[in-house]
Amino acid sequence: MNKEKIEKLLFIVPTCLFLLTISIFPFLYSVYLSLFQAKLTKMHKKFFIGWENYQYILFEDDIFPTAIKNTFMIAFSSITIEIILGFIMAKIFFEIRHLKISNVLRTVTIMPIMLTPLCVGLVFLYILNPTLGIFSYILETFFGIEPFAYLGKPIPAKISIIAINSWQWTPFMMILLLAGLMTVPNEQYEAAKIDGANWYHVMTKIEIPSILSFVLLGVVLRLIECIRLFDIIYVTTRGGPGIATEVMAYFTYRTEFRSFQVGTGSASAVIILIISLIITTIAVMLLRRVEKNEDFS
Amino acid sequence: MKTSARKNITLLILAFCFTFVFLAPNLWMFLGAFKNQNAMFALPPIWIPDFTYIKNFTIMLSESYRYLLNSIIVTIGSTIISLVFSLPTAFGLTFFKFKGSNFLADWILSTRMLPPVAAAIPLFMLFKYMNLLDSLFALIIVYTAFNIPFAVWVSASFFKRIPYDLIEASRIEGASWLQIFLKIAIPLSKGGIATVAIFVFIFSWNELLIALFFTVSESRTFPIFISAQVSQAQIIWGNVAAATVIQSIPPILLTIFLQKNIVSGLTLGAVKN
Amino acid sequence: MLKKIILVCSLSLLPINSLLAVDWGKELGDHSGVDLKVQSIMDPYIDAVKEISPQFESATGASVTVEGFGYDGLHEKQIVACSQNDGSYDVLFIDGIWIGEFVEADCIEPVEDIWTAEGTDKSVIAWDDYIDSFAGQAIWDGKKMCLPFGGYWHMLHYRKDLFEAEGLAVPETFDDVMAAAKLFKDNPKYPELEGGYAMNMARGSAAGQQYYEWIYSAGAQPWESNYPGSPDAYADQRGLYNSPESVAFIEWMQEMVNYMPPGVEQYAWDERAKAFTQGKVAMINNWSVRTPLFNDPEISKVMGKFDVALFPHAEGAQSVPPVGGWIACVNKHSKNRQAAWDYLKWFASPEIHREWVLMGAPPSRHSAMNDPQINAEQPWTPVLYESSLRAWQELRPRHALTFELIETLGIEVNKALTGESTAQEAMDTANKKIDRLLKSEGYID
Repeated sequence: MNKEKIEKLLFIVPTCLFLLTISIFPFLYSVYLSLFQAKLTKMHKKFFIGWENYQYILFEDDIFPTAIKNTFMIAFSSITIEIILGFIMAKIFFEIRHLKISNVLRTVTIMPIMLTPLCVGLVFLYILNPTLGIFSYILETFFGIEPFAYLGKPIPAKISIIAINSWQWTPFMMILLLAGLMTVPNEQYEAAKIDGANWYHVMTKIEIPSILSFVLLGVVLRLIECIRLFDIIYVTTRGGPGIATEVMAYFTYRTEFRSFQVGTGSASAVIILIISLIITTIAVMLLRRVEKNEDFS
Repeated sequence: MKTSARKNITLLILAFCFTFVFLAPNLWMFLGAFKNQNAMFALPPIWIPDFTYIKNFTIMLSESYRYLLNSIIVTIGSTIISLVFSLPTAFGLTFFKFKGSNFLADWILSTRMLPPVAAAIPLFMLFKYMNLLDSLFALIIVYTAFNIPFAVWVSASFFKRIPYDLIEASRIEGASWLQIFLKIAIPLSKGGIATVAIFVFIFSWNELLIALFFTVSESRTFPIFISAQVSQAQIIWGNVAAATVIQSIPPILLTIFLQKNIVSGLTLGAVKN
Repeated sequence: MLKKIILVCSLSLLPINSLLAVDWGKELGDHSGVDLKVQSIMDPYIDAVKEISPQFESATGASVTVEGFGYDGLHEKQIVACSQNDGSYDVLFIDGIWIGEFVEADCIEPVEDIWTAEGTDKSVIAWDDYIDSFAGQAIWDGKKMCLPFGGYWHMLHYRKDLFEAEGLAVPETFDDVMAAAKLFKDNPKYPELEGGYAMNMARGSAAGQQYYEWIYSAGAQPWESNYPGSPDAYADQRGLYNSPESVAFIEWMQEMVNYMPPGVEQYAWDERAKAFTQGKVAMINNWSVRTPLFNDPEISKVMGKFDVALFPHAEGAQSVPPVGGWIACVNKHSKNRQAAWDYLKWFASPEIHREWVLMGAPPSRHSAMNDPQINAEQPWTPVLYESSLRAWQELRPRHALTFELIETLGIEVNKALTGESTAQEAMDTANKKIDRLLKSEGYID
């Protein structure tokens, strides 16, 4: 074992050990616990029940399946809105990118991404109070619409969560697509102008194909994050009304920390993990492809 | 010429509108920090508050300055330690050609997949067992562990851009890996390192759930203070508004000054700017 | 009842001093160098706790740190810490309904054991001076586990200016409440009012607790053996959530939604109280701990314009005002149990309790409720006192499954109130799920 080998190991092994303890241990322990009927207040009385937790939350009770459905519904709706809105905004900023002020505007626009999700939730809780919030005021004064329970009735609640989620992340999509638009070589635009193509053709034949890999990247990255969506729901709707906005991470949270049913909670966490892993594997493949594209462009 | 100017103005106006939409909600809360609760919920809304009313800030800070300090310490601490662990590993994964380097990289990324909600209890047990609870140190360790996967991945993507010939040449001249790492890789990847630092910083700054469990009184962080304002008897909106302003300052500053890095960071390094 | 009246009269006749003067120098030990940590809820009274603690510090040399948490955060943190035998906090303030769970998790050292072993002077503890309906929540399995220092009761809060303008009597029955709510909803004379009444409707604990708050006054009961005055509320826990009376009550609430502000479906405690303090509704029922805040000029627009009354009841039923609040316990895993106990017995003693209440905190003792100064400064005290004497301590389940139960109930009640289910469907589902839950832990066979 020469000095070089030791040196190389020192670069990598400490990190892996670190991760093994801090990240792998919780995972393994969660898998272990998920096979038990266990309550945190009496762990010494836990007993082995095999797959029963999974069976119960997936097939017997209606809440977790609804949570999975809700999570993906919110994810796909948000992502769709973010792509469409993000593309429109990216186009606009692309066209005015030579104006100095567009930099300022762009910077302001991306701030929501960096804010604490807890604070974002509180901000919207403040705004969406039906009788006292400013949103109601604007609706009534400028549009003549009577206030209603934005967070309290099933459909408005789902829409509100999708809206808040999209609000926070559309700038992300915009930045991504803007970067994509910037990779389109100028020659293609020149050629199109010479051919007399209108803006519609330019958009569909040149821009969209070029940024497709960026869109894909954005979709996958957002999907990973949406699966863990939690803070906004925690502050505003708490999974309600009924179970209209119950999402997977919230289900895990209240099972593990309100009811302290850590066996059942761990089972749901493992399911979330498996879903995340599948999506991440796809993401990694795509990321590697985008990187390769970048190198060749 | 004329149509182009007109087009620019229309687009600019649209851009302003969009920017406003993304600015308004937070702006509204920030304005609320200068109002007492009656004024925060007054109708018709009070558009321009009395900016000399800083009672919310003084009350909030007097209650929470320790937590703010803790947040700053934990955030900076975990950022530094994350870099100390991740940069060498990313370097190794990129330049030590060995079998399974891709697999290791994927494994490292996958450790990020467990929802923090599920990790809280096992980690609490672990730290209690090691007697490390209620120390800022414990929090720094946990945040570092959560940050490493992302940090390794992004750093690696920046290291990949260094031409291998440079590395090879140094190796031939007899430089050790450590020397190459410190003298070549790091200086050439300053932008990437800044990117990693930003996101690790923001993650640690914003984190709530783990902090709630790992801290007792000495090490409570600022987000915990914010969440404590919400109880069944009342929500102390004055504190919430003022605290939101303070909590948002680092993210806002980082966005303004390090915008470029944010783009690459958000895409895990796949996209340069 | 008679016993209570006699007790009350005798207590109010004696001058406070002679009954309650304690030589704290002798009673409390020397705890110099002890860093006592108190874990509390962030309710309005926490400031008073912080304000009064220095007196203990100077008497014993200990230093006292009081930390406030949100409701969920407090519960989570306390149970998780306890499950790991963590003694970082010496004194735990818990919600009275958490007691079963905390005993199951073995987090508490029962105060009764401590004071028996110590031989503490009865006049320092003065258990009989505590109001029964709340003190009962500090008892589990027949043993006094914690000190019931912070009791809350619901009172009907109404806008006396509006009621006088309309010549309305103070509402007493459900019918009165609905009639008044109907009158004030969409009444052109009062354009700033958005509704007549506001309730907690949000899914989960908000709606779930709301159910328990009203059900006894509605003349019904949630499960077989639980009714005001029951000798053992947990003897037979088979649910009656879908009984005809219970369903009828839910239907009454469904109709009330029509007279509440738009968007009431998302109301939880803060929205409910704010609707009242911002002058948007004419009546609410609310925890007494928040009543002092209604007179805070920075938060409330209705100072001086409101009054309180007894919790309403259904025709032919009795008013059973809801009771809740916080009890103070010694953390079994604390390293400073002696200091913690000294702090508790000092803090909850009649003398200090009275001082604390005068700082704006909720009274939980007969002596405090009858104190002339407290009555002068908190004019709602007589109504509060009467409410406290009529309340029923087992208002909500206090066993280890209480959270899950209330959440399950709250999901279904919320569905009924938002119109997603009918009252019958919602309560049938609730009953089924709750029975299954209780069976799984052997609470029902």
